[in-house]
Amino acid sequence: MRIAVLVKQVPATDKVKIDEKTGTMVRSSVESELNPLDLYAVEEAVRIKEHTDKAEITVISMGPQSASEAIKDALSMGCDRGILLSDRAFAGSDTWATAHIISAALKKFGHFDIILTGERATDGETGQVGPSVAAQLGIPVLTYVSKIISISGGCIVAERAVEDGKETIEASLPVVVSVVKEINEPRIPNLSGKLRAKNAEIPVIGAKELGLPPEETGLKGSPTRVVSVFYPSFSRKSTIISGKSAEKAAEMLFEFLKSRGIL
Amino acid sequence: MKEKQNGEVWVLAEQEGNLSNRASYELLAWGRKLADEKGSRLAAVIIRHDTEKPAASLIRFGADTVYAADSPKFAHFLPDAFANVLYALVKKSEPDILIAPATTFGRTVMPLVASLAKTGLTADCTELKIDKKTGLLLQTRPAIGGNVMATIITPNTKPQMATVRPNARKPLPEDSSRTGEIVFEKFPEDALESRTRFVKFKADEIGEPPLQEADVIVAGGKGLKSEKKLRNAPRTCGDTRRNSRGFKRSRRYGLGAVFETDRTFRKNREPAPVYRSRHIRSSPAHSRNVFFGDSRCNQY
Repeated sequence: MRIAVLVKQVPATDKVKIDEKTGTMVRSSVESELNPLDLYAVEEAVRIKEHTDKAEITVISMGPQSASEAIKDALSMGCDRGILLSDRAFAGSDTWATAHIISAALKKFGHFDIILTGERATDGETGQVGPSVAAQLGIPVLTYVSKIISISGGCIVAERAVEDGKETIEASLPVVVSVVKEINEPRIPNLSGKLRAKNAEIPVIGAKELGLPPEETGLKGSPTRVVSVFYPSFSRKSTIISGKSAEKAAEMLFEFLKSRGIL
Repeated sequence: MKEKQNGEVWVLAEQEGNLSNRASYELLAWGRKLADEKGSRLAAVIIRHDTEKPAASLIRFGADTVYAADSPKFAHFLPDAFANVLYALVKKSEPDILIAPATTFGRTVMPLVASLAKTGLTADCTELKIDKKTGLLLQTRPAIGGNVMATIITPNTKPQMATVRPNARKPLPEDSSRTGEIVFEKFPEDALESRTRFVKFKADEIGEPPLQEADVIVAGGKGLKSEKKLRNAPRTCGDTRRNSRGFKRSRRYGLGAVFETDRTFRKNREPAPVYRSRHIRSSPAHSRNVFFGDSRCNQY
C-alpha cells in the first residue's frame, strides 16, 4: 500500500504579522513548525503502516526551502520519505493553485492508495486543499474523519465527525482522507526516528519537473486575489456624555440609566 | 465561463433532515442582501431526497427561485455525486455568485465544485458585499486565528464562490406570502454515480442546540465561588424568582447565559463537565436557549 501525507509548515505562534501592502505573511520574524493538525494525519499514516504489509509513507509539502524541516518532523514519527515542492513560481498560490501543484506531484510520484491530510492549516485555515486535490485527481474524498474502521478489498470504511453526530461512510481507493483531532494521539518521535530524519535527503521538486507552465501556478495560476488586509479592531460600545455643567451631565446620565432599566 | 453582468446569486442549502434549517435560512439572508445590491435574482439550490417541502420553505425565507435536485440517492451526503450535480447546474445556468454554509457539508462540497469549475473559493467568510465599481463580490474572512482580516476577490472566473461562517447574520423573517419558482432538475444517471456509499449515522447524545445558536450570551466565572452556585446560576438568571429584578430583566431581554467554570472548581482532576444547555422559558412568548459550560469546551 502506498500512502501519501500532505503537510504544511506554519508559523509557530498565532501572533503573526501581515504586510499590509502585499497582504502576505511576514515569515522571517516568526519561527515555523509542522502544522499541529497535520500531526494527526502523520500519526494515522504510521498506524495504517503498522497494521499493513508492505506499506510505504511519502510526506509531501509545498513551501519554501525551510519547509523541509516540517517534512523531517513527519519522517521522525515514522514516515519513509519526503518530497518538497518548492519553486519561486509557486509563491502566492491560493488553494486552487496549491491543490493543482500537489495533484501534479501526486500524479508524478504515482499510484497512491490513500492520501491523508490534516483538517486545515492553522495559518490559512481554509481546509480546502485536501478536497480540491481529490477533485483535481478525480478521486473520492472523505473529510472530517474521526476514525478509520477498515481498509480492505480496495475500500475504506471511515467515520466522519459531522455537526450532529458520527456518519459512517465507505469509499473506493484511491481516496483523499482529511482527519480531525479526535482520530488519535500523535506520538512523540523517538531518538532513532529523529536521527533518521536528520540524515534524510529531501528531494526538491520544482515547476519544471512537474511539467507545470507558469500560468498554472503561483499568483498567475490563482483564481482569487487578496485586495486588502486589515487588523480587526475590538472595541467596547461606549457612549460619552458631555454636558456644559456637571449637573446637566449627571441628569443625562440619570436619564440614560433609567431608559436602560438600570435605575 | 462567459461574462454575465447580471447572473444570479445562488445559495447552496444545507443537506440535513429537518426543515427548520437555520444555516440555510441565514445563507438566504446573505444571498438576499447580495442579490439586492446587484439587482439580480436570488436562487437556492437544494440537493436531497424529497425536496418539495424544504424548497417551499426556502422561498418563504427569501429565495426567488429554487433549483431542486431530487433523488433517493441524495438521502445522504455523497461528496462526489453532490459535487457533480452542483457543478452540472453551475455549468448550465452560470450563476455569478455561489455561497454555501461553512459547515462540514459546505466545506466539503464547495472545494470540489470550485476545482471542477476552475474558479476561486474563499473559506469561512464573515462579511460579503458587492463592490459598487466593479460589481465583484468582496469576500472578507478572518485568518491566522482571527488576528487579521483579509478581503478577497475572484476577478476573472465565475462563479465567485465562498463559504460563510454560520451565525454571522440572522435569517430574514419568514414570509408565507412570498412566491417563487421551484425548478425540479433532471440528471443523467451517471451524474448520480458515486464512489462513496453511506453506511450509517449515529447522532450525538447531547441533542441540545449548540452555543452558536444562543441569542444572548452571558458569561460568569470564578466570582461565583462554588460549583453549586455555578450550576444554579442559569436558573437564577432565568425563571425562578418571579418578581426579582433578574427575572424581569430576563423577560425583557430573553436572556440566555453561558457560565464558564474554572479549573479550580473541579476536585480530583475530574474531566471537564459536559457542556450542556437548557431551555428556559422566560415568558410564554419567548423560549431562549441558555447555556452553561466550561472554557475548555470546543465551542470556545
